[in-house]
Amino acid sequence: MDSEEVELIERCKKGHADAQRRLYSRYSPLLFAVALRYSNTRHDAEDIAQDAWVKVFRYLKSFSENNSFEGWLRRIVVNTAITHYRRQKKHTYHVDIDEVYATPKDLEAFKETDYNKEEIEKAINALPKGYATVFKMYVIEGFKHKEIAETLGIDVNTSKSQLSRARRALQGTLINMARIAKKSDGNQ
Amino acid sequence: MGINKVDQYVKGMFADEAIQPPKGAENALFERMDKIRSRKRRARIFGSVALVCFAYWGSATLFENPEVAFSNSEQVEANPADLSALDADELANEMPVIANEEPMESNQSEAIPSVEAPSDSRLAAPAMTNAQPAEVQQGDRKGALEPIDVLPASPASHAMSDKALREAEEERWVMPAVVKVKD
Repeated sequence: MDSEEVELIERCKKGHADAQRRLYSRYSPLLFAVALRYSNTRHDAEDIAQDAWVKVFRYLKSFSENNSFEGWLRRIVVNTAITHYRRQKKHTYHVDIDEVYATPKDLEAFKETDYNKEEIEKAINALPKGYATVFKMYVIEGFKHKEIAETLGIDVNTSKSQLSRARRALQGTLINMARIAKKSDGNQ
Repeated sequence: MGINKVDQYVKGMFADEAIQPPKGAENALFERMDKIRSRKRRARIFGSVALVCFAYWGSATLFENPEVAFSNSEQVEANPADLSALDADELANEMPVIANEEPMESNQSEAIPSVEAPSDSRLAAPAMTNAQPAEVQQGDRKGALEPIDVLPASPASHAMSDKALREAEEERWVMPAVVKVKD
């Protein structure tokens, strides 16, 4: 963290409204993007982002400058999103549905350059909710399995196995998407 | 492509993702924050007012009705000023009753009969009755410090005449006596 950011956070801790507005304008795009990633609709994401900001300002005094502020923000948003949906009981984190797993041959053929961001985002969102959440928390947000387990109220081993399944399911989904795309190209 | 590479690839795509929130979001957030702040402030003011009211009520109850504080206790501590204002005859009439009661309360019944109020000086009775249990207790508590507020129970005081005692009373403080009232 640079000294300007530390000073800004210190002023926010003291309750200066102008500093809070500056902090908001600096980090709101990041926070909103994380909120969107964990919400079903844009409207939900707006609610989650607002709740998360209220928590940020309320608990800012407990934040230590030795840690990453961005990481701290991400954790707050993810926790808020999970709490939001848990309260609404819209989805569960232990979903068993028919999944498309990638075969070893598929994995060999898997190349990152074959997929753009939208396709990967679509594939992640096509995963069972529990898998997608664990995958996003671990891979994108950088949570540890212990933190994921605590946040979702699951066992550490469950978190690990869900991540493993999520990876395979994601690769399978992407490969299927590529096949479908090839077929549609061939028909044309 | 290995697992770590996939992870890195996906992370690289989303790590720095930033999406501008809707326009009204900032104002909505800070309006909500203001509401929370004012609600907290009001709660704090209400709490402090309630605390002051409670403290005032508590102190008023204690000072206006002091008997409430002693209602459960049968012990009444006599005021020295009240004692000195009492008529000597009244004291003398009342004290023998107390003198008979007290030893029964304390388990020192053997020590009591040996002490008699001096016939010539009825006013000496309060001093005797107050002093006797103290003496008995002192006997039990060997080595304990003598309480300062116990009236002198020396033989000289027994022999005091009415006149001498009255004179002494004018000059001396009469210390509070503890009187136990029994039904």
